Amino acid sequence: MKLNQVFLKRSKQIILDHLQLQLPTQGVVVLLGANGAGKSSLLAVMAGLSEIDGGELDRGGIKQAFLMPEPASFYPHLTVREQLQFVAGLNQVNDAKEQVERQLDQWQLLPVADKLTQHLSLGYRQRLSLAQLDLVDADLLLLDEPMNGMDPDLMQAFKQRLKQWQQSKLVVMATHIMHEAQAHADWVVVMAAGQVKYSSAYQETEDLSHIYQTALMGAVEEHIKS
Amino acid sequence: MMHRKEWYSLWRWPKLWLILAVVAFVAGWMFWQMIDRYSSLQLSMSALPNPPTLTETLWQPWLMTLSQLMLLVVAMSAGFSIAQERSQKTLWYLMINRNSYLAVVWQKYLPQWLLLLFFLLLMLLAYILLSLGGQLSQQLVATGCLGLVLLFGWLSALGTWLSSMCHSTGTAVLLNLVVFVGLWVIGGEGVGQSYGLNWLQLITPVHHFKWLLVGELSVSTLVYFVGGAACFLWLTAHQLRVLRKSA
Repeated sequence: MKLNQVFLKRSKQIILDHLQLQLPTQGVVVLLGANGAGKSSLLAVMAGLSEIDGGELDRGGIKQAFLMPEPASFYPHLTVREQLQFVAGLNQVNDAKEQVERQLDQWQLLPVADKLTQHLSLGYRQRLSLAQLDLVDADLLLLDEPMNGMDPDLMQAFKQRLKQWQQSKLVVMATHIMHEAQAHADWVVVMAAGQVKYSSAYQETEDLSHIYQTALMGAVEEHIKS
Repeated sequence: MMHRKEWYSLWRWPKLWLILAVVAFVAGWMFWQMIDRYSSLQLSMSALPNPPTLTETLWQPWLMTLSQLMLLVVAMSAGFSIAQERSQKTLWYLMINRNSYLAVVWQKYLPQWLLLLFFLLLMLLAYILLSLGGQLSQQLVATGCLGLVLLFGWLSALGTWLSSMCHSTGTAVLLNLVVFVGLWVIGGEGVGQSYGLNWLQLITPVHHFKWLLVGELSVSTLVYFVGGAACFLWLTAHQLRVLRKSA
């Protein structure tokens, strides 16, 4: 995936400022940045949900993308099972009925399968969001703050699944929880003020928070100089 | 699956049942009032050289009342269609991995037709009851039914377009109601007749519906309803494209 001079402006405010970024075809990309840096907007652009005002977006060989937004949003009048069936139908999942049941089981959603999504607790909303992501089996998975408020059990299940996705998909994960992200990162991107300040393959010996601080310091120095 | 999701959302919405109950009650009440009035005047009317038929006296005015009640239901169902997706932040499910938004619009529009069954059922009941008491003109009944179906499709398409421009469902329903009632008022008898040809009436669906009620089936009316609905649906798809530019 390649983004060349991507420019995004909303309500007279520059969100992505001539952003330049090239990502590997598979693996986990950890997207770091302070609130308002443009991480969620970048995910929306990558998903094709937000039209850019300038520049080029080349999604390479990626045919299908799927998103885990923050906060998770579902159809309130559908039950958990119906929500998954709807997502499966919309994304032409093969053996949809079987797959839905498999996801319900895998993400421990069976006790709430017939409950309306509007009555779900935060933990179950996260599980449902992850089940949707797993169900669609897209080439590009875009996760916006997926680990926020996860309980230890769910975190464990999520990390296991992330390891599997890492082998065959491109996963772009915006997060603030660096110590958890560090264990899975293949590539690190640091954003500030709608620009990419750092983008490189991640070496296991590096400390993610150090990379983040250094990149931000560089950005501050750049800002002072300008 | 998309249609099933729409139907679930529609039928699991308690307010809809309440509105349909109110509409059924008002339609039933009006029907009974009309029959009561007709019975009391029947003797005097039969003395006239050309007495009005059952279709003219009861069927047509009641269908007109039913179409006015239909405005309420369509304003709500169409108002909810896209605005609800926007307000509950679920529009992305429909937009992701899509090249054509017309398919999305069609999938939001088609399930609304299920509500037409409710009005068709009311019409069928009225038809059966009136047929028991006299002879109805089959041609006028058929064109009247066609008129109501076309009006429903036209208003639903317009309502869906207006809904795509609103963030909140409340605003969308209110906007639909204002526009529908406005069109009804503009299309009313005697509006601007002093200016000769009343073009304002010609652009409203009421005028074309009235033509169909009295059995005047013309190509211009068909084009007006079908072409108008297609145009509104295309505008909705365009509005979805615009939304991507502001997302």
